[in-house]
This record gives sequence, structure tokens and C-alpha cells, in this order.
Amino acid sequence: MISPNDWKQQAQAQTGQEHSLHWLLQPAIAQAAFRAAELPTRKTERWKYTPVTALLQQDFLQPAAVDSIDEARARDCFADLPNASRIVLVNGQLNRALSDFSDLENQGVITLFSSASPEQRELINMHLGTALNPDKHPFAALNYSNLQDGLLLHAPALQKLAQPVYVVYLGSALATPAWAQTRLLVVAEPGAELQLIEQFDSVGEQNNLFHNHVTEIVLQPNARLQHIRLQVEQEALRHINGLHVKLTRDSHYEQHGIAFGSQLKRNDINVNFAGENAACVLNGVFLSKHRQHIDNHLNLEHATPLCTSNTAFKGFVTDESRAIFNGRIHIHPQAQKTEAHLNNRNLLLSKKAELDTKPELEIYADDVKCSHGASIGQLDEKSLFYFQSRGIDKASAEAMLCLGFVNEKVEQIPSEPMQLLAQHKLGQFFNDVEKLKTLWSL
Amino acid sequence: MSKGNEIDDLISREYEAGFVTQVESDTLPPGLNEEVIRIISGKKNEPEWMLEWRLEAYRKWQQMDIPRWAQMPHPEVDFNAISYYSSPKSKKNGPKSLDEVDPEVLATFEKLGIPLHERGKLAGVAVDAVFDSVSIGTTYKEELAKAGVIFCPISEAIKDHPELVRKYLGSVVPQQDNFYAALNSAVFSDGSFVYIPKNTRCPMELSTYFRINELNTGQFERTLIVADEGSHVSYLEGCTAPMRDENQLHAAVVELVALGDAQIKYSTVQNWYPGDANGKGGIYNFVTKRGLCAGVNSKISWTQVETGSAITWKYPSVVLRGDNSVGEFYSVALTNNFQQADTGTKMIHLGKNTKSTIVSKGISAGRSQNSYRGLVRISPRADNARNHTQCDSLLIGDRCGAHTFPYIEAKNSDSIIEHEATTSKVSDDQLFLCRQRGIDEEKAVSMIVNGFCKEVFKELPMEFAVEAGKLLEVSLEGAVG
Repeated sequence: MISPNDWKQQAQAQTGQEHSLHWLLQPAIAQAAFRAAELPTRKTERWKYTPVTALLQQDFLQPAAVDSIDEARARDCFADLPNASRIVLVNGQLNRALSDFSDLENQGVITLFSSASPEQRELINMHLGTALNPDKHPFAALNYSNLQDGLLLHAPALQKLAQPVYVVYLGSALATPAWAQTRLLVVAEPGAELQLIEQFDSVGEQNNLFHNHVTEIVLQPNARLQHIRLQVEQEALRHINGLHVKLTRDSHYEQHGIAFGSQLKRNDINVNFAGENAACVLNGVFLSKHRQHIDNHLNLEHATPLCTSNTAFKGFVTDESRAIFNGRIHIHPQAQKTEAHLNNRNLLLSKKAELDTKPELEIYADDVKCSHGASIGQLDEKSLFYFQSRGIDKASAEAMLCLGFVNEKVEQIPSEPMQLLAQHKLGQFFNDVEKLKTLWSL
Repeated sequence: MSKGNEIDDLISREYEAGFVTQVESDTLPPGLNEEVIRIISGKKNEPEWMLEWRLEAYRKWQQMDIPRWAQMPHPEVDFNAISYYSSPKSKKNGPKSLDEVDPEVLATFEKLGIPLHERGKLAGVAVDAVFDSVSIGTTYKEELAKAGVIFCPISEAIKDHPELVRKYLGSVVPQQDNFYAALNSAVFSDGSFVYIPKNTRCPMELSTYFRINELNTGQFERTLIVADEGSHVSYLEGCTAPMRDENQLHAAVVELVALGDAQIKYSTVQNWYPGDANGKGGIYNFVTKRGLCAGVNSKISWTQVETGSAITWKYPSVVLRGDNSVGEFYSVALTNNFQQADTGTKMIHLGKNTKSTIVSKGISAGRSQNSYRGLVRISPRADNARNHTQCDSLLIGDRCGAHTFPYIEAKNSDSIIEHEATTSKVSDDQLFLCRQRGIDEEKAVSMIVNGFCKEVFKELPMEFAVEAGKLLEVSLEGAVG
């Protein structure tokens, strides 16, 4: 056990070390931000419902060792995407044996920071950190302070990538606590079009990993990105995840996410509108059971006129778990003719579970259409009765209604193999949820 | 009336209650220390326990920090530059009856349309009028006494009904509840006390009217309403202040207690001076209002129309402790020019089958900022709790802001909670439709705004609803075009 102050000191000492990527500009900025940052406490509004005390007492402060991983088990995690370029990181390190992306690597679409060409270095320095404010995100600042390596996905102008880019972050069982810090920078050139799939998964039980991840996305004018995210790790793992998106003129960003709770899981999704007529769709479902914890923090910064955003998140909370949703829409004074809608619907199934939701609107322009809604409820009595009146027993009826609730979001995932994988993972998740057991064993 | 006159009439309308009354007053020098509290307590001839209670609050207040979480930047309030007590000077030891009150003061209330004689146009409403730090008169006392209802200034209640005051004062809003409540507990000077006995329906509407007159004073009134089992009361509150370039502080505390089967309906039309078009002057309205549904089947309903004050910081709340209790909050908050409002409610569900409804309408114009901040908390034992929240905001002009910060915390899986919020501007289509029919733009906006607020206005007692409608028109002055 260490104190949060020691934790910060140690983290700082580590990040101050010599970097092999001396050409990177970001670490110096991030280090300053992290030094100045106060680590969240219960009094920090943005972390009100998510205590990180336990995390900050745990001595994670060494990079996770790259153990040999059971390859067969690792491959079991993958979705059946035969033509996709697959990049696999185990405990934060690239695993070439499990990966398969040589085509795109040769074309310069996917590059490791450590092997970036001079042009790519310039590109990385130009975009890294532009969608992210490290002062507001201490863990992201920590991530960028300690930039040993990273992934660059650079989609060329006016091209549509035929196959999805599939990035898998795997945690393997570790004997001692350790951290993995990963980051992905996506730069889509004007008119580029691509699908990105991120999967956060784990192999083996008793996972002592603290995963601190940042994905930064910059969409140039007219670029389009479909983003599918699965966060389905084993529940002992701790994961703080930052997704920071910058949208320029006429760009289009669409996200479909499924996230399971774990000992500590925090998702920050930050979308910055930096050009007119950009559009953003965020679809997600979060689920928590046992004593899991999941915190979703969305922030949509509408800083330019004529943009639209549509956010719809669903929550499924049971047992003694706790889930949080915080969705903020911020319309800047100049962002006239914005249309922004946000919706959070939750199913709270257990007396000992807790759900806190806080949809926020902060509006400084008048010619806008904005709305948000939130609801917390249980399974609909009438629907249950409908099932039962047709001879389906109550337990099965409940299970079907729960599945129907979650499945709406699964069906929206624009990739059939990912839908199948999601359903498979959901099956595992529901397997020990009392209400759903019956149906799943049918 | 010709059309030209009508427009002139509209334009010339502004804050009508902004005059100053010239009365000799007895005002304490600015500053706050234990001595000042002893003087205030002494002026009221308070018993020892009351003074102790105030001093305890003062000591707690000194340890507390100014809350800074609300969405409202403002210059620091210098708590030592405020005078904590001011009363119109009277020749004797305070007026025995309304006839003895300074005619200037009576004229003030007359001018404001508050009937202090019992045959006025609002006959049938009992009024307690508070001028700066003292209550200057209460009407219909005898008639209310017949029904067993106690309606008097709180300073009188402390002397005449100490058992009731001791039991309930601070029971809903404890001394150390928040910075401004602690300050109020230490220095409160007057306010109203209401007690409705068991199974009694209060025979008339009760009303308190607050008036700040003196310069550099703060008004700290304290209202305590206790509705005993099976009783019912409807209470109205109104307020105005002169137009001044200095900001003045108003930090009130209102506590409501509803015992089993009791119902309290509390309506406010808040029209403190909002400051001028450049944001100079106006009242800082930092108020703590909370009701406790202590008994089974009790009900507390807050209705507020907030058009005044430079800054409004106010969250009338309901603690739903009794099973089957009901809490309601209906609010219209209008801000214009440089006004800031951060207002909303808290519904704390503790008992079983408790229900709450929140309807909040925010209208921002000019360069004002208007926030709804609310909390709905369902505790683990609040089985079958139900909440519905509706927050709508209307924006008039492109320099104002409208914000919504609802906190929803559910710890019981039997509860159903819904929250909806929308923000939009006055629709061009609606405006066009009105203008096409010969209604000018200002009138059309005022019609649309009135329609927008209808859901809340219908909860107000009739006289208030009319006044509220008029207030909106005045406050929106110059917001269009």
C-alpha cells in the first residue's frame, strides 16, 4: 500500500526518464500537465461517483512484463474478421505473432511510433494532443508523459479502406500488479473513409493489470470513421480509457460501444467539433454485475455551427454493482444551428445496485435544438404479463426482456462478425446473472 | 388607445417597485461579530436559548467556506460591509397595531399593491409584511386565531410559542447546512411563523411580503411553517427592493414541516430588484428552502416564479421521509440583461411509495445565464418511488445561456425515474403565425412565453398567476428585436 501522493511521485519519476522517442513534442507538455494536476478525490466533480483511492494505493508503477501468452486462448478472443488487418497488443506491447497487418504497415497506413519515418514523425507531432486537453484529464496526461511507443493509423486522402482495422488490447494474467499504457492516434486525411474496431480483452484469471489507454482521433474535412469498441475484459482488471475525437468540416464520426464493468472502469469520451457541418453518432451500452464499477463520462464540445450529435446510451445494472453515466453537451456561443440530442435509458435490476446518471446541457447559443433525457426503471410489468399469458414462465420472460433491451444496441453494430462476437461475450457475461441463467442454458 | 401609445407604454415600463421610502430608521453599523448577534437578539427580547442557538450557528459559519460550485461568477461579498439589522424607527416600543405603523411604511405597501387594511382588493388573504429587518404588521390575526391557526412574525413566536419554535427551528435546515443558511441562523431578524393545528384547513391564504428599503443592509428572514396532522395551508411569498447601484444580500431560510396527511403549498413570486440593463446593482438572492414530509401521506408543493435578483441561488427541496408522501416543484425562472439564476430542486426519497414531480421552465434573454440544477435521490429503502422531471429552456437572443445539470442517483431497483429536458429558441414559425395575424413581435413573444409557462402558472393561486404573467412581460422588456 502506498499513498496517492507517493503514487503520483513515483509515476512522475518514471515518466521523467529518458525517452527513446526524443523527437516527440507531446511528453514535455503532458509531463507539465501531470505535475500540475491534482489526482481525483471524492471532491472532484468529474470523479464524484468514482473513487480512485484504491487504485492510487496500489503499487502498479512498473510496466507489465511481456509474458508468453497462450496463443490458442488469445486467438479464441478474436472476432472472425478474415480480411481485417489485426494488431494485437499484449499487456501494452505489440505481439507480432498474433498480429497480421503487414499490408497496411507496408503502405504506411499503420505504423508504430518507434518506426515512424520523418514524414510520419511530423504528422504525429502535428496531430498528437490536438483533440485532448491534458489539464482536464490527469490519467491521459500520465499516459502521454510516458510515451514509450504508440500506434499511428493514418488513412490516406480520398480513399476508402476496404477492410476494417482491428486493434486488440489483451491483458494476460500477471503475478504482481503492473500497468500498461497504450495509445492509438488516428488521422484520417480529407475524404478518407474507414472502419476501426477496438477490442479490450483479457486472457486468464486474476488479472492484476491497470490499463491506462488513450485513443485520439482527428478527422480531416469530409473524412468518415465508423468506430466499434468492445470492452469485455475480465473483471479484476482496472481500466481507465480516454477517447478524444476532433471533427473538422463535414466529417462524420460514428461509434458503437459495448462495455462491461470491472473492478474499476472509467470511460471518458470527448468529442470536439472544430468545423462546420460535422456529425457525430454515439451509441453505447454498459453493463455491470457482481461488485463491478463502470463510469461513462461523455463530453460533446459543440464549438462550431451547423453540427449535429446524437447520443444514445443504455445501462444494465444488477447485483451489487454501480454504474455511472454523465453526458454533457456544451454549445459554445458561436455554435448556432446545432442540433444535439442525448439519451440515457437504464435498467436497474437489483436492490443493492446503484445507478447515477447526470445528463447535462450547457448552452450559450440560441438558434439550437437540444434535448436530453434519462430514465431509470425496471422490466415492464405489462410486457412480462404478455409473455406469461402466452405460456412463457416469468424467469424466461424476464431474461428475454433483458436481452431485448441490450440487443437493440448490438444490432446497431455495423459489422456482422462483431455482432456475433458481442453476442458471444454477452452470453458469457449473462451466464452468472441469476435472472438470465435460465434462458442462456436453454 | 392608439397603437403608438401602446408601444410607448410598453417601452416605458420597467422595474416598478424600485422606489425608496423615506423613513427614519434604526440601523446597526455594518459588520458582523458576536456582539452584533447579541444586539439583534436583545432588540427582539429573545430568551437565552435563542441567543445560544444563534451564537452556535455563528461559530459554525466562521468555519465554513463560500460555496463556489454554482454557475455564477460574482464579486466577493464583503460580509463586514453589511448591516445586519435595520428597522423603521417608531416612537414607542414598536407598533401595537397597524394604526400605529408609520404612514410612510404603510404607503409603501399600498403602492406595491399589498393590502394591509383588511378590506382591500385582495381581501381574504392574510398578510405579514416585513420591512427590512422587522415585521410591521400582520392582518386577520383574530380570524385566524379562531381557527386555531398561528400566523405571526417569528420574533413573536419565539416569545409566545417557544415550545413549537424550539422543536422545529433548524429541524429541516440545520444551522450548519450550508454557508448562507448558517449565516442566516446567526443573524436572522424576522420572518413568519405558521402553525396549523391538527385536522384544520387554514381558512384563508397566508402571505408574507418582504421589502428591502435601507441601503447597505442585508435581509435575513426566516420562515417556519408547521402543518400538524391532517391540516392544509397555502402560503404565498412576494418580495421587492429599491433600485440601487449597489448589490444587496438576501439570505433567507424557509423550513416547512408536514406531519401525517398534512399538505403545504408554498408559492413564491420573487421580484427583487434585478439590476439595471448594464448589470449594475441588484439583489444577491442566496436562499435555502426545504420542506420535510415527515408523516405518512403528507405533501409539499413548491411553486416559484423567479424574475428578479441579480443572482438567484435557490433550490427549494423536499425530503420525502413519510411513506406515500408527495413532493412537487413547479418553477419559472426568467433572466434578462445580466441576471444569473442557478436554481432547481432536490427530491430526497426516503419513504416507501413516495412520488415527486419536477416541472422547471427557464427563460433566458439578454446576456443572462439561467441554470437548472437538480437532484433526485432514491434511497435503498424507498421502495416503489417514482419521479418525473421535465426541464424546458427557452432562449431569446444569442448572447444568453441556458443550462441543465440534473443529478439522478438511484439505489433502489423498485423505483422509476424519468428525466426530460429540451432547449430551443422561440420558434420562428410561431412568431410568424402571430405576426401574420397582426400581433406585434413583442406581444407575440410574451404570448409564447406565457404559453410556455402555463403548466407552472396554473399551480399558482389566482391573484399570483395574474401578477406573475405581468411580471414576465415587464422583465422581458427590450429582449426582442
